[in-house]
Amino acid sequence: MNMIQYLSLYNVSFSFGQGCSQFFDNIAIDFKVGQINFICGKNGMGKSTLLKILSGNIRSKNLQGILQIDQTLYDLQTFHDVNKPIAFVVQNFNTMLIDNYTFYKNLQFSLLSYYPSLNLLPMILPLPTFVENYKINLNIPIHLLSGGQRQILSILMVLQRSPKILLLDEPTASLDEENAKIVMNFLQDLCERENITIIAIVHHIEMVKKYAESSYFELYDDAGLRKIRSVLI
Amino acid sequence: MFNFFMIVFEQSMIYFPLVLGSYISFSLLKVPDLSLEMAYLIGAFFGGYILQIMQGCSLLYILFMVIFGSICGGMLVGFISSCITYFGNIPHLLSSIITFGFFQGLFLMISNPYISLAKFDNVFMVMPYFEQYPELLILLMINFCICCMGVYVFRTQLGYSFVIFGCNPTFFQHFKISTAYVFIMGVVIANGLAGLAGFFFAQTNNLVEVNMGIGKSLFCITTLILGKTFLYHCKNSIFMPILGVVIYFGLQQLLLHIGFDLKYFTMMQSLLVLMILLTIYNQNRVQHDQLGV
Repeated sequence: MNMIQYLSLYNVSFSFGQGCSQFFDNIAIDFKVGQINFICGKNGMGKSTLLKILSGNIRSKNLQGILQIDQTLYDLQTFHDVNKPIAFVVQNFNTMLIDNYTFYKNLQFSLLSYYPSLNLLPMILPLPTFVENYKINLNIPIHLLSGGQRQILSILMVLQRSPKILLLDEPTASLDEENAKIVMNFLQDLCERENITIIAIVHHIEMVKKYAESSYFELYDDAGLRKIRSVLI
Repeated sequence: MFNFFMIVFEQSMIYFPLVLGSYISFSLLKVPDLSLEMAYLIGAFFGGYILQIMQGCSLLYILFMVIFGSICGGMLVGFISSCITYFGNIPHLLSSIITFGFFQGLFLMISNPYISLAKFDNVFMVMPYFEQYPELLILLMINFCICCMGVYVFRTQLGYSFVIFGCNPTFFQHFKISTAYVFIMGVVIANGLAGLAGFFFAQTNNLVEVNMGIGKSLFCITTLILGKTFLYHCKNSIFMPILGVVIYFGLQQLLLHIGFDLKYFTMMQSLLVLMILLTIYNQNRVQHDQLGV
């Protein structure tokens, strides 16, 4: 997979509606490519909103800003219209999975949009080799998998579209310590092997300190405005 | 015995499109699609109307046109009920009832409650192969085509999307497929098939009647539950509606042969469904999902 060289977000301003006070005002972030970028902050600081803006899921006249991926500049207001190199895994990843079907079938389903309407779906799809490292039985219904394995599946499903940037909204929120560790190791593997840049919201600062390379981003409140800063570990 | 099987076979052929349609909406999409009952009537009405205005043309040509017309009639009902559900944010059961009431009123406004087709050519006589059952061969051929198309569609994006919608309707928003497209297409196809079955029934009985669709949901649920009971290991197979409808009419003919009065058959049907749900389903821990099918 081609690695991106530069990923930056700047001049981001956003309010929730006409007449509402500014939520983000001129935010700028330089992300570290090929690594896990953690975004932390208290509840209500706009972590999920920031991720939605990045994913192109917010369509609003009250949104301004530029996303730069390598030499390409994307206007955030029209970002949802372009063929995005970004994949987004929501916090409630269960909404992305089909419980009665196997791991294989779910991966196959994630490619449905490539086979419009009446095109036959191919029966077998290659899986990334590292799935085997996480002891996943590919042929049992996924409701029998652990929470961590299900989270890994949801990530693999969006990776089928070969994105360069992966956005994760609290990937370990509903997992116990052991499963959270499995998922975080998987994400590290993913960065190393696939050269993907990951931007993840995480609440547990201990986990951030363990898995972040040198720093993380923190959203904080400054006189009613949400701002972001880089925190060194 | 030959006659027994032939009657079961013919009845199954008449109702198979309806059961396949209900399989798509009840079993795959898991929506309580009562609009099937009205699609059954409107399909019969459209087919009957085309049959009436095309008298004098080649029988084969009329056959194609009435099939097309009856499917379109059913699809119209499905399209309206699914659009009300999706764009009006109304539960599908309610929008089906609204659609039912609207089309029943419309039917009575533009037509008599009873339309006899006896004075028109029977399009199924285009190939009267079996002497005693002249309609059987053409019904068999049409249903064979429907089956082939069904098998194909269930292996495509659209077919898998129906199953996925039934399991998790939120899935599509993450994977660039329109949920509205999947839902509306599913209901429209299901109702189109119901419309075709409506015409099959009207043509074989030479009658389109305003109440002909009433109670068809219970019939569909019974056949699908029968099919699921015998094929509960098989996940989402087209054999489920096929087997269900054959067993249903097999049972019906059996009861008739032992002297059972068919006016009580609906009661028997309800008791049969209840018995299966309380015994076989519970023993095998089959999930009682939407409508038990």
